[in-house]
Amino acid sequence: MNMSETTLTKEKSYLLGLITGRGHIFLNSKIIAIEFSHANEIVEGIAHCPKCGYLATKNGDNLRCKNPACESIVDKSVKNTYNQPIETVESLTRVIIPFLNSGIPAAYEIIGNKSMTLLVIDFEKSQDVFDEIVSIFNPDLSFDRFHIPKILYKTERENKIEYINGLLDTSGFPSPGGWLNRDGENGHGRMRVYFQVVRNWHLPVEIDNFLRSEFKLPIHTIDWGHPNIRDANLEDYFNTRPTSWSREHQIKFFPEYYKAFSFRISSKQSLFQELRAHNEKVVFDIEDDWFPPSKITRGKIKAYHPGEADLRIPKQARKHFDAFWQINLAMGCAFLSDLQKKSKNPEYFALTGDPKTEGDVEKIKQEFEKIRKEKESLILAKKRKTPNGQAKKEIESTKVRLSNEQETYAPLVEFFKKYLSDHYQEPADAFDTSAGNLNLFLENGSEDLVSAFDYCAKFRIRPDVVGFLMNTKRLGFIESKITSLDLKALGQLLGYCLVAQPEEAILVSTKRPAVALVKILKARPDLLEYAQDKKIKLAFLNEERVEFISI
Amino acid sequence: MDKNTFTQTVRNWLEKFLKKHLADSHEVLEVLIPESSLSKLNNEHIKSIADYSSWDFKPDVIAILQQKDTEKITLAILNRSNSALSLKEIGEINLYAKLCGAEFAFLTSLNGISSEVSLLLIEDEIRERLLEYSPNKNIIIFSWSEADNNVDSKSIVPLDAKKFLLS
Repeated sequence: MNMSETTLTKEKSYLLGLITGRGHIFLNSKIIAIEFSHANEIVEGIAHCPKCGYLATKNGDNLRCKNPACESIVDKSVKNTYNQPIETVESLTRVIIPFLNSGIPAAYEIIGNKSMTLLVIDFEKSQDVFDEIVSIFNPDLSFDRFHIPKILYKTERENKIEYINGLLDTSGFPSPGGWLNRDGENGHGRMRVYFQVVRNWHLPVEIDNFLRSEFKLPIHTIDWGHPNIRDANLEDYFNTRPTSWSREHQIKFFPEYYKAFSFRISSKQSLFQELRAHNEKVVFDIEDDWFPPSKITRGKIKAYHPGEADLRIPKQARKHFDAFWQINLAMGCAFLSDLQKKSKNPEYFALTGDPKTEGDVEKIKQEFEKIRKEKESLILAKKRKTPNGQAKKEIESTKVRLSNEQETYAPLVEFFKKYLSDHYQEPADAFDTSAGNLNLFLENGSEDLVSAFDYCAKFRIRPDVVGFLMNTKRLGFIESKITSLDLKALGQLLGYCLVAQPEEAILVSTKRPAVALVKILKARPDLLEYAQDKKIKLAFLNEERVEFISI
Repeated sequence: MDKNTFTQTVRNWLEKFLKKHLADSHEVLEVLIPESSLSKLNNEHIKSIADYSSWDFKPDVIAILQQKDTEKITLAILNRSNSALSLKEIGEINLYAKLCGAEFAFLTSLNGISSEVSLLLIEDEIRERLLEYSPNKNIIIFSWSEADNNVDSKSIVPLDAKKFLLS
């Protein structure tokens, strides 16, 4: 049975929103699991000055009123506090599950902890609905790959609203900390809510475009998890957090325009109402929509960042950008594409955001290139200056840390390619996958790999090196250590192997294994087994040569 | 809660739990926070178990049990973590439980299971492979609620262990 726009209900639309935001589909067990993340157990509302009603923000250990004519010290107790895990479970139990169950009979179960609550929906007794949902998201099975279902564009408005409500409950975050430095008629600070999109690179633009086309709503910005946007000055890169940019994407909006929507998670709804009431009281007279985009002036040009080539970024966005909206364009924003088509010189528009100028593309490219390199040189020079030795120390300590285990990956990749192809007599490839989960690596890897190893999409595991036997579509793992191998290291690789059951699994170290481990394994070689006739192999990395250790 | 306090807390819980639930079948001889690997513990009960000398590992808490009918001595082991549990901790206790032929194996954390692992554990086949360390014996994972000073009832994996743990 296929879900159509005529059979789509409010409950199903809401569920589709939840799934798009943080859902996982388990085909074999006919289960859908939905994550409700709450990284902070307690969240606080807005602080307003009791004397003048202005926003009060953190100032040292206290809060201080932002009104220049007041500047009173404000007690923290003026803020409301919300316990997210408790309110999430209560909202699921009292509101969300009864609502879903009224239209979608299934078995609903809640499991969770302080940082995440999981709603597990078992469709064993309502297989039709499960099949409908699977067909809607087909072929994708997890929120890091889902698109907005096409059916949502054709359905009636109240279903569209419920879809966004579902999306908000899982991926929407109203946060008083995300206010924008703006003056309004009656106060200061413009509050924002954001959709948090994790590892899914097409969804931010789809959400933006859906809200524009279906509701005519403005979006303030998309904060991409891209090195040019998150770490434009390479601060984190040189400060021992070289890949800090690779967090989630955020689509930020002003809550006063989103009155049609509501959260069913009570803590989020209370915060949403607080933020909306603040903005409505302060009164802002402009929409502050990012579209049409601002022109890229010389001052906005960004330095090159080594992370631009990172494999976690999809091909379309694996390059340099000077403004966030250029990523929107690269990721298929329909509104920008339309504007680009209508511009005097589409190529010039893509570089500058100027639709009205014919411009000299080669000249502007050279000019921007020069500025990027100058900025990069300035950053590097600044980092080399070590008046107190701090910057240099940071770089050196990073290097020391990175040497060690990371330096073993390159020789292991070379070894594994050759070992697999020699041993199995078929084409093989191997990659350093230590920086991210296997599923993500595959998603952003080559098309050949994606199609051959699509069955690995569910493996959220992180071995250091993964080998691929291309004909038989089998996997191999290497876990590398720079300490003597012990039961803990073996346990880690065993965990990966029990999940993915690779054809080969090698635990390797630059040091000989601990005597205690060898003793244990001599007595209990079965501990190395992770599947029938499959055993973890131990190895010693001697310079760049891998020597297997027989047990 | 710091690690030592947490260890002591779950040690006390384990003792109470086992004494209550195994009252008919087992005697709980000792519940210990080992200071060295089990092979080096100067404990006569452990030394009476076959192969103990190869147990070069140290769970956070162990309980020594004696079956009332056969007088056979077995172990319950428990590992605790202050951070969210990953495959590393599951793989580790899986090995420990296999090695010592544990009667029960528990894994607990103040921050539950990482979201990646929670999702893997929903799949029946993967969960069975990860948690089953001997036929019909599974690692039981749960969050520890500081607020309730007890097992967080919503966090128990596998789900069918809920009745056993909370009854």
